[in-house]
Amino acid sequence: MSYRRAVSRFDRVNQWLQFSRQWHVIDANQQDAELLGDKVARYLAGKHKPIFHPETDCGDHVVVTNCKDIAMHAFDWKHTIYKFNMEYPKSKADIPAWQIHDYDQCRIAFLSVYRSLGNNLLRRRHIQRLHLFPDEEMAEFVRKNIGSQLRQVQGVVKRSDEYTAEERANFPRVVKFADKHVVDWEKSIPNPGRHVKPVPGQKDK
Amino acid sequence: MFRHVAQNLGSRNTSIQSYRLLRTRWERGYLKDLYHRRQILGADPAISRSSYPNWDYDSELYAFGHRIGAPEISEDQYIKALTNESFFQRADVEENVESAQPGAEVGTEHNAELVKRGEQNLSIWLKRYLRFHLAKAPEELIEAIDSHLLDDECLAGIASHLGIDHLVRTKEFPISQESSADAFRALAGVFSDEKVKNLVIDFIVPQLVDIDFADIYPLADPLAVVTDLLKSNGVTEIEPRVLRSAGENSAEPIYVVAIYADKLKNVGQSAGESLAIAVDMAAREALLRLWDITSEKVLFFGDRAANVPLERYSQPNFSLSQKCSPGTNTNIIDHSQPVESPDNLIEAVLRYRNVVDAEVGKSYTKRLRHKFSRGSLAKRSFRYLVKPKPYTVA
Repeated sequence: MSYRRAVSRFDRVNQWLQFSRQWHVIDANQQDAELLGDKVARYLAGKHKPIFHPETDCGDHVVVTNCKDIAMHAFDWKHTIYKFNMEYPKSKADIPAWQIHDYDQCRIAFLSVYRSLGNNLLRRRHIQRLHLFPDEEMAEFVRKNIGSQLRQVQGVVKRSDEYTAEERANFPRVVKFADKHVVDWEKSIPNPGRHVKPVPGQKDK
Repeated sequence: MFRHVAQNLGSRNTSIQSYRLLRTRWERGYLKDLYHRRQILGADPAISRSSYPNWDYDSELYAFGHRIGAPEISEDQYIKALTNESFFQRADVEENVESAQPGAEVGTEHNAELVKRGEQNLSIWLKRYLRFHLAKAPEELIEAIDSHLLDDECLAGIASHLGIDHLVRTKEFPISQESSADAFRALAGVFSDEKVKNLVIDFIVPQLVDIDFADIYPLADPLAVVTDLLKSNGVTEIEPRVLRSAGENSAEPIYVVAIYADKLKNVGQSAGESLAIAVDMAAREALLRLWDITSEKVLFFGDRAANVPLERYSQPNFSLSQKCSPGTNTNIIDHSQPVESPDNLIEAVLRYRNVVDAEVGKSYTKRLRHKFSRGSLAKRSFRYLVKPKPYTVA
């Protein structure tokens, strides 16, 4: 027709709903860092939306809690080496994951998400929508913003130190240990101390 | 030797002169100059269709009669319907020039009376159609849709597509929306009752597809109206609830609100960037759903609508003021007062300052610019962070 209808009320609010940014929360307790990073990066970039386009900045916010309990496969805490190289003298370093995690409990989650966002110019903008918290406490305004919860990437299992003595007693036993058997997972053997080699010619004091 | 070389040529058009887009050096500037002179001159003036040499008003009227499905109407009646009152004030008509544009005998009749009668006919049939489809809607809504569809703007659009603009005899050129719409109404005044019905069904009713009923009939207090209507239907408790929300303290908050009846049934649901807007839109959606106006509603067009006995729907529907309680405001939103923009930017800035900034302070984007961007005018070197350590990479 020769005229065109103005944007109606429902068009306006539906467009606002379509392009609004959701705030997701995900629990990183016992979640593999790589798998978690892939999932979170997908939501930060907006790739889960039908309106996604590489040039459309439609990513959502993601709040990651319990980052201190993030998990890695098998011995990867020791074997995963994060490589840093700034091309200056003395600026190359390989730091294992456990050292970074000792210093900052949220950094491992950050690095895995940052890697999964891909090597492009947009990931600096996407990573700004990532909100990391070491445990379940968070700022109140962030809690109010949350409108969705993401499914975890793997199931959470019960840790061995969470079983009560009653549960252990009720578990059926196939083997009965001898009295002298050492069950080393209950508590560690005390450290016998450093071995001191006796000086030749001297007897024990 | 020359024969051997000539036999290997694959094409005769190997010369640069055969390139069709290439122009000589003087010709390029010349053509650009011509183009820019044309740009400076602007658009050509609009010329009346009747001033072209192949114009025959009688033939056009004959074709027009067949085009709108009423060939039995006489040419005199068409001329009367398409003659505006201001036609007799034209300079060429006053000077009694032969064959005044757009054509036909000058005559003495105009369409003022036919316009009134046509408007009445169109309104009668359109309201019957609307009452057939919106049987549960109040008469106020039907009146609002009727006044919107029979507006000058809408009718002028239809008239333009029917080609009435070229046939109307009026003083002005180009023809105004009012004159074009008046000509359409005058045609409805000339037609018989059956023809007016077909005219409404074929040309006016399809405009319903593009209508947003919440904008046509914007109630000032939709929540109170929906409360009264549902309570008259037996519902005891009506309350709005927030279904979902995201980004309450961000720049783009979104709320999804539903209207619940008796805490069980969701009677309307909509979104909004603030709670007030979301509740308002949810109430409007509840009203439209209550009146059976949804996106799944199938409107009848063409023969399907023509076969409906629309004469039975001449009685008005119920009125909102009768069904609602006396204290409820059933008026439409007053557009005379300026409404502030719903995208309240100042409110978003203050929300950030009072809620987010007070809690976490300014972001470290400048301090951490070596992690976010190197686009700094200072171009300072980050050599002091050169040795990666856990306390520097974190």
